[in-house]
Order: sequence, then C-alpha cells, then structure tokens
Amino acid sequence: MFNLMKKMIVVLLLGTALGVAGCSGLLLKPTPTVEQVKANPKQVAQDQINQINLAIAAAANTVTAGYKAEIYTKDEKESLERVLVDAREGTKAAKKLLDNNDVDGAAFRANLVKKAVDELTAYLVKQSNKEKGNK
Amino acid sequence: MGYATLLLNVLQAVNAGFELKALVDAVHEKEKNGASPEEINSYIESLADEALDKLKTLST
Repeated sequence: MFNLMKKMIVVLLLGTALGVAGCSGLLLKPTPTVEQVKANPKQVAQDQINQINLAIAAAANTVTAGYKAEIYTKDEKESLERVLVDAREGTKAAKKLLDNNDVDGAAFRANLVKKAVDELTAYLVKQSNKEKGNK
Repeated sequence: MGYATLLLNVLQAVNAGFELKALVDAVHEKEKNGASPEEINSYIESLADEALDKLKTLST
C-alpha cells in the first residue's frame, strides 16, 4: 500500500518536475529572432549550448531521483545515462567549434544535441504519463 | 516501506522537479552579480557535469 502510494506521489511529482523543467527552459532566453541571429550568431549559438547544458543537468537530476524512487530499472537508468553523457560530449564539441570561430558548425552540432535531449525529455514525460495511467 | 523512506523519495522527486528552475535562478543571480559571460558559461557547464557525476555514481 505504501509502495503504491509512494510511486503515485513520485510519478505525479516527476510529471510536475518535467513540466517545470520544460517551462524553465523558456525562462532562460526567448527564441532569437532572425535579426538577432544575423547580428550576433556566436552569442546565439552560445546561448543554445547553455540551454542544452541546463536541460542535461535537469534531466540527469530527474533520472537520478527516478532511479532512487525505483521508477527506472538499472537498465533504463544506464540507457538514459548514456544518452545524457553523449549529449554532454556533444555540447563540449559544439563549444570547441565555437571557440575556433566555426559558428555554423557549432550551431549545427548544438541542434543535433538539442534534438537528442528533446527526445529524451519527451521519453521521460511519456514514461511518467504511462506510470500515471497504470495507477 | 517506512515513512522516512517515503518522505525521502518524495523529497528527492520534488528536488528534481524544481531543480532546473533553481538552476536558472542561480544563473540569473550570477548575471546580476556581474559575472562575465565566460564565467556564466563555465558555471552552466559545471552544473551539467555535477548532475551527470551524481547520476554516474549512483549505486546500482
């Protein structure tokens, strides 16, 4: 009974957590306009890298909490961890390109990483909703 | 399942839930305190690395 209650509460909170995480992404910087990108493409790419790194931090913390709460199995935790580690390596590579003034390369790499992180976040939300549906 | 464990798990989930907002607030605070863009970038990188380290070192 307590185990069920625990899972229900944790799943509800994780759902809220991911919602907060998604909304917080919007708090950092608004989507840049075409004019802004043209005026300072390097800064726009750097902002995107920063946002992805923050999303990685939040997702890692969410998975940590989910694993501790026994929502994720060891295999799931390790899969999610691999995606996040790869994403972090991707932002490091994008930053390196940016430091070498390859703005287009950095933006391209950052976009690829963003897609992976977005998909991971969507997966976490889906899992959270699935858990809710099972209760 | 004891109350202490239940409470701990709930607190962990709450902590994760509001983590990003706290992270963003911390970044904004650094910006207000006059941190340079490079310092902000490094700070955000350290947040990601710390969170990943925590995840990696979880006992399995």
